[in-house]
Amino acid sequence: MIFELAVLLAGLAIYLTYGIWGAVMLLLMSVICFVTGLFVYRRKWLLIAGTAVTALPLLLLKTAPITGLSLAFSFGLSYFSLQMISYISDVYKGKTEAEKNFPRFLLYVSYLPHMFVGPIERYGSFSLALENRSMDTYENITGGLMRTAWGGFKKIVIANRLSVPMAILASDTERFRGIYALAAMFVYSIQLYCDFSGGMDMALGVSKMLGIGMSENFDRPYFSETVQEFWRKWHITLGSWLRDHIYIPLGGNRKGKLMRAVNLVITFLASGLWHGIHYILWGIINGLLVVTGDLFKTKNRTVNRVITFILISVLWSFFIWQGTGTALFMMGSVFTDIIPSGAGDSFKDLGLTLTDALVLIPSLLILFIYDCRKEKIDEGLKNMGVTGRWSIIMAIALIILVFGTYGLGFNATDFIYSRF
Amino acid sequence: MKKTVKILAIVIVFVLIAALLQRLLTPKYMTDLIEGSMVSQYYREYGDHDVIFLGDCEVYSNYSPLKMYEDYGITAYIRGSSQQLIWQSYYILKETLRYETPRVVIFNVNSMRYSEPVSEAYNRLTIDRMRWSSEKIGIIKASMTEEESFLSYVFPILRYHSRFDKLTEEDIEYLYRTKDNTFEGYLLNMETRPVGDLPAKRPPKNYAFAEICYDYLDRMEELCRENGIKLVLVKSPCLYPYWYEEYDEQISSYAGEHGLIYYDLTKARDEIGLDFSTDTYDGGVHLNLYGAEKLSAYISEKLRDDLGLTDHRGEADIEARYIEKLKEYHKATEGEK
Repeated sequence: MIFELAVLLAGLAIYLTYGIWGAVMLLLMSVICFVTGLFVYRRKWLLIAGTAVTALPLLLLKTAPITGLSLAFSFGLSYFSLQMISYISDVYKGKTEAEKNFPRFLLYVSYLPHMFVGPIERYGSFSLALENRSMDTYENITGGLMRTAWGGFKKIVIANRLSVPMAILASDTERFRGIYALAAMFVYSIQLYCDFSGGMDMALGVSKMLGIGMSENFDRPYFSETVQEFWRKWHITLGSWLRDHIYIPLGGNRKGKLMRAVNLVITFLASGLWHGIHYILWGIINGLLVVTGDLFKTKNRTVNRVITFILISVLWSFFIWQGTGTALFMMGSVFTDIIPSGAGDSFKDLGLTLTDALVLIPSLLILFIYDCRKEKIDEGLKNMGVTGRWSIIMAIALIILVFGTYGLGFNATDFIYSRF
Repeated sequence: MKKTVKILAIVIVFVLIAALLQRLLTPKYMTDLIEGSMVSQYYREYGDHDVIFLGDCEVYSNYSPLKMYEDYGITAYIRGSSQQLIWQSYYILKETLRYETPRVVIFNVNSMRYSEPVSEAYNRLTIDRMRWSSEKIGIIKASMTEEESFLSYVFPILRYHSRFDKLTEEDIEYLYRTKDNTFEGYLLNMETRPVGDLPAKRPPKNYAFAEICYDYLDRMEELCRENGIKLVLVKSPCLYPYWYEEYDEQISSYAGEHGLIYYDLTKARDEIGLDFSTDTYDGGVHLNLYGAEKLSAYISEKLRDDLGLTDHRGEADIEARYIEKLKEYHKATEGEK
């Protein structure tokens, strides 16, 4: 209990640096959810009321661009709200027992490693991870540091370096259309993956150092052969949450093919809304691609992977050019204005230097090789001796220190997925 | 135990490599942006000066301490730096008092016009090479712009890590050594660019100096008073940036209230003998060597006449200190004279 309290207090202290009102809101929502949990078992009206109250701030946050409401929202609201909803639902269904210890419940809600980019944990698995906390200090620290360093490499060396040309590409829709827009889609694919999964590696690494295992959120998604498979491997915990709390309650695949398709599209629409009001169309298109996924499938696995990567990359346009109209316009420009007039030799103006290329090319190669041979490499690293493992940790740290893009103009805790 | 020793050894190797990289990547300010090395040169030259100058480029470009000694026997040192803000002058004064207690501190009041940190780059030129002390902590905290972090001053590699593709021979040559770039804090410039068309006057909406500037001026005044030092306020005689009458009135009034001497040298250009067709290297913003030597003579006479500073020439220990410095100074300046 002392350990849990210490983690809770340390997390809350750091959380407070993001603003007092956000912390107050977090505390208030935690109290409401905790009390609901105590009485919700088999009380449907309380399930509905508790879920509605818990979901309200999230809904207000996501619809703020059209409602114009400007409230002091809590940092990490998108993540802990979903956790609260899943907790109420799980207690209602009897899948998990109501937690009677408030500090322990608050730790679940406010556990700092998952506040930045997730994962969205269910109470049952978090509680289990706490109870079965690993006491192997060496393995916790070494494995945790290794994971954190790897995440740092992806985020600080690759994603942050790509963010410079991406910011330029996204800022000028007049000049950077056509081929530039296409380049932006692919560059963003890599940037977003490194940013999000890098942040996740760091969260899981820090948690591992505390001996607490958390759910994986990625499984090499860009190697997927269909869009459906991609969504099973990208942001896995959000996908599971949507499946359990939207897709299955809607009827899932139990009511025929047509209703399955409708339910899938609605689920992806909800996924879009979770990202923000501007992403609803993105969600619907993804849903349609999941429904019709097999249409694009060939017999060649590599071709399937390339097609899926292209489809997903094109759809990230909604993330690059925020605003549905702009995103559609930029996607269209690839077909209507492939070499935009007046762009000249604009690739030179993207802020990329030879040094950037010399850092990015080997870094991406390392990432690619790791993702291709993940199991073998992970196994090899685990069986490695102290000298080997710690040398790798320190080598990655040095690479980040020198070749990372950070400092002025960069916030170490600014992840793309923290903005959702 | 064996495991711990191995980990410790690897971490130590990492720290040593990181420290070496930090030294390599941090700018040396030896041949480029040499203004960044001025503050640290003092640590090799401090000791028993009559006068310490504080302020921005209007001090390190406009006064020649060696000329002051050579012609008037006054020992002076300039602790100036680019765009030195008043809170930086305060902390540099405080730090100076760790090493010596001058009889006079001359503060150039140009920085009263700035109420907030101007740029990270200027901060770095002033702070990077300061020795660690409570004053350095104070100057960092007071100077940081919003985007800066304290940690990057403690570990400069966090700021300069991306310089690996900009390394030059200087970074290798001065990895573990340094050299003097100024003459007692004076940054020699012998070029001439006569004054031409100055920018049009754009008077501020509000001439009043900010509260924070007065606060630091108060602190400097108090520090000097407590240490028996005469604080002299000056405004350099340069033509630009403009020193408005409203500014002058505020400083005059402050000096009057606190019993300080204030020389508004913008009104003494003729008396000093400045000719802005020959005495400036950038069209009237800064003085060149010829202008600086005229101004040094003028201020030396003021210090002698108004504050009673005495002539140290002939004092063996001081002369010994200055023989080599003057030789170097003459070597650097005579070819052009």
